[in-house]
Amino acid sequence: MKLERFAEIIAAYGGAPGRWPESERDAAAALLTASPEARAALAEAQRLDRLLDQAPKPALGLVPDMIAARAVATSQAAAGRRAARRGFWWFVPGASGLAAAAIAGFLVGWGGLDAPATADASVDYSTYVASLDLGDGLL
Amino acid sequence: MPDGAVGTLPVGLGSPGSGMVEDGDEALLLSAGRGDRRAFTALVERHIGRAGAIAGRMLGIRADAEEVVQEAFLRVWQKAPEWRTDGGAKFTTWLHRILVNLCIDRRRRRPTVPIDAIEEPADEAADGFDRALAGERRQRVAAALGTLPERQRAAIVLSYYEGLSNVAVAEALEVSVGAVESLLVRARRSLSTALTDLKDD
Repeated sequence: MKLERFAEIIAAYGGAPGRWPESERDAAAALLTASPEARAALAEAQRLDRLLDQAPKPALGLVPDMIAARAVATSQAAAGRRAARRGFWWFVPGASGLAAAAIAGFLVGWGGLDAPATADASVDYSTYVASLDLGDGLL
Repeated sequence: MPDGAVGTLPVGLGSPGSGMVEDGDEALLLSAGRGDRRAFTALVERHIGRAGAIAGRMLGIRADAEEVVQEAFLRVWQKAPEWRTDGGAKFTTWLHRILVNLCIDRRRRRPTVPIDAIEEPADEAADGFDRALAGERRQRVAAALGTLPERQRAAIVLSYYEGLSNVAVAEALEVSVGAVESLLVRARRSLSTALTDLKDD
């Protein structure tokens, strides 16, 4: 191993051989024995390592059983909500048509003063409302 | 973790000839995908320590880190039925990828990292002055880590603090090994500059 590669390794992984790439560890150790420059570079990397080792250690209050149970419960609740939405509107025969008819009836009644009071006009109105996109998201 | 800690381990599902510990994760995941909650709990027990350490160091905020770990294992449970063994993927690679991505998303939404959010217990043996000095150094190091760009920070956390191999870090970050080295070099260079006045103490 050349000194240049050794310098790259410790610049990336630090001064502890255990963190160096396994495939290059032996060659790096051999260079370290032979090269004063390599030892100087290592000492510099180890100074930074000693500082990094002082970083606060995370101390989280994680309880495995609780994390697992919450994940299952959350997943089941989400699945239940999806099933409820789909089940009600998808499996009630003609639900979308009933909703469209209800809206059509409301609009016809509400706009009754202005809309032409003819059977054809009511049909047009109903056809228009029934053609609206009453997808799952709206219902 | 000792083998006994995963008593429901369905070892027969692992690929023959490979180590039991490595097989265990994927076998547990397959069982979890079939609705086996005990297998899922065993998987959580096995990996929650490192998951918490990664999220804690990435985020620096205890509540955020705990939420991210919860969210990560929720995704594991939800996606477990889709897990396939024929791709040769490792569960840990997947889990680390989920964690890193969730942490990066979280940091982008709340980029400031409080430097004292995750604190070590005080050293009772040290006197007041030493304790204050050590606390200040810890905060300086945490602050320096907190200012790193997300992917550099993720690389340092996975490689330096969690001791993952360069290949494992590359897989978790979905980059090449060369790119991991580049992230690490840049991260250490920034940290060295930020902490230069502490290096000779």
